[in-house]
Amino acid sequence: MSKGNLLIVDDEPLLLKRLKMNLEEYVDQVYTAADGIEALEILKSQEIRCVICDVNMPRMNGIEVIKKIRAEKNDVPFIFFTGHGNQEMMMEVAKYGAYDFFNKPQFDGLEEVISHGFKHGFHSKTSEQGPDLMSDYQKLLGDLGED
Amino acid sequence: MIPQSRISYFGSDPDFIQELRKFLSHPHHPGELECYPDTKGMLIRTCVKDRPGVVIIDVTDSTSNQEILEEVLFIKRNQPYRGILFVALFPDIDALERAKNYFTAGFNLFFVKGCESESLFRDCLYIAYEITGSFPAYAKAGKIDHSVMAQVHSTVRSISESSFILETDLELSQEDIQFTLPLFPDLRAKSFMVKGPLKPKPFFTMLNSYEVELPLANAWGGEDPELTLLPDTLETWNSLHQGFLKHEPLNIAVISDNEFLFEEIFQSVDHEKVRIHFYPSFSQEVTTIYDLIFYDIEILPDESSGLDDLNNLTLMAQSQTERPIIISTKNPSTTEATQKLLHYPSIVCATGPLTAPVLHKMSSNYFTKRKSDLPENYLFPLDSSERVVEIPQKVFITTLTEHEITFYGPAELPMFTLLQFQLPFKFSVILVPSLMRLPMREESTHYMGFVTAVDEKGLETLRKFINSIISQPLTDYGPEAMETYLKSLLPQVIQEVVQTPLAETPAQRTEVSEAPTIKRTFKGNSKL
Repeated sequence: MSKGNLLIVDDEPLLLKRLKMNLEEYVDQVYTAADGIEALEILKSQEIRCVICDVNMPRMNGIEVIKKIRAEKNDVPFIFFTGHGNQEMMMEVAKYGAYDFFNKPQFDGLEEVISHGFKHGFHSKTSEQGPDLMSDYQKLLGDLGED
Repeated sequence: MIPQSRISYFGSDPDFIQELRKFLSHPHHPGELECYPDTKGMLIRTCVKDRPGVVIIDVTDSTSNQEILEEVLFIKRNQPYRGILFVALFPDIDALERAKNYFTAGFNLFFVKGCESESLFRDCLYIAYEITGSFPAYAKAGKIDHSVMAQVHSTVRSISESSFILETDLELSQEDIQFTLPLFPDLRAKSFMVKGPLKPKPFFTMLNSYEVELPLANAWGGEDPELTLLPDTLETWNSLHQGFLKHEPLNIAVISDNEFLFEEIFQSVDHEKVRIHFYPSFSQEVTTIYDLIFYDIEILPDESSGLDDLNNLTLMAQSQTERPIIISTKNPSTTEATQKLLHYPSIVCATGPLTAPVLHKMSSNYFTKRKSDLPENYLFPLDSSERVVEIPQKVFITTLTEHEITFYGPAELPMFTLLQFQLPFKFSVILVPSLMRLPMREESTHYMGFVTAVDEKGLETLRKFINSIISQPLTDYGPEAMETYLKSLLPQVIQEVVQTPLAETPAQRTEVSEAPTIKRTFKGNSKL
């Protein structure tokens, strides 16, 4: 079964290279882009099921990328890389729908999030339903009980 | 310009409807009237859809006080509708006497059929729309300046093993307060110790809530047995009231710009398990004293309010020891992203809008989960008149007419509070912004109140009393003096009422020149 294609957008070549190597086995194909403009071209030409995107980049930042993609009615899941001092930018991208946030350079659990993102991307193409609210809620109630 | 008033009437009294319609057709107080035969299924819908300033409910044919009170309180507890003036119509004074609980369950004015209805309509338009219209000049007993004990209508919300929750519009500063507790008929104690105000809790029926100690007898005895509750008495009382022993309901805030959800929620939730407070937008009033907060404001690109307000809500919640669970709907981001973004782990999100079934399911699940943590207390139904208590408040009456009373009060009484006076018989008064300039006095506030909850016979007695004290001022306005006065007056009044069943026009009544609207000059706490 096809897993789907992943796009990683970051202006740090070393990080792009490392992530590509680490994530290749979990996806069909990994595309990389050094900035938002390149990312938009790939998103237009390829079927991407999940995007990992830095918030703060030269030429075109993460906010502009998601803004343009959402304007085209594309609700592909976006996982954003963030760092200290990026709270305002995070608030902006969240208005367009953020799937998750990761603090660079800590990527523990990223594979799992991508895997969920692929499923979410698949669901978003097949139905109007978002993530299952009740299941998130039950999980939270379960956590309350463990206090 | 005179504001166009909007009144909703629930009942089936054709004469009353006709009088109201006629009143509202006058160019000095124009208004729209919508009539419905029954409140069932219509009351909340009407308040949301029509936004009336006044709702008049005829309870003559009502089969369930509990249903009406529950619905009225549900409306009044919610910020967008708190300003609606609720009026209860009773067929006679005995029916009103039996419905004391209406005084502490969201209703503001009380009308006994048979009285002149125009007076009620004028009061309604003044309170709801600040329209003075043409208030008649009534015979006035002035310069009285005598102290009396007014009673502030208050209520007992619940009783635990050693204390009870008292709700009142008064701000209690003293440690002990005087009143009679009807829930324990054999208890003669009239003084109770206030343990303190409850930590901010959402508005239930009155503005303030206090925990008050039950006067339990100590193990060694020695106290007057009539002034304390003996363990055996309490045990018997507990066993007799087992049916009222329930878990305290959850407090839930719903912040939603979808007002139609308000009605759906009322129909779908279990009111014994949840108490809903509805807000049309985020405000500082949404304090994090709730167990669950549903945030149903759409988060949109290029708009700051949706996400910024959610951020503010979580910041407020983080400062609390008991953090509420926040359910953010119409949110394009996932639960994980929002938890990390707002540094608030107790938030769940969904892209779709909130629906009443989802709210019901989530609140029921939470109630089941937390049931063991929720305190179990004796909770009494709203239609139980045993809940009602009267807290005395010393005031100085200055003037009295059959329509209004003015008095100095030491406490800062919130506007539209209901009090009871005995002059010479017991009637209620709603505090209103004064119609006239009232002189000030140091360390006290000069209030005006409209007389309410009186029948035509009572008004006759009041007129007699006023005429009497105009010609022969009294030196004592205490309850005993009033009883004596009433006894001397009563046969005469009864005789006159029998002879002239239709009361004459009130004494010295003249039309005041029309002043279309007034500006409310009061500041501070208000019930409406």
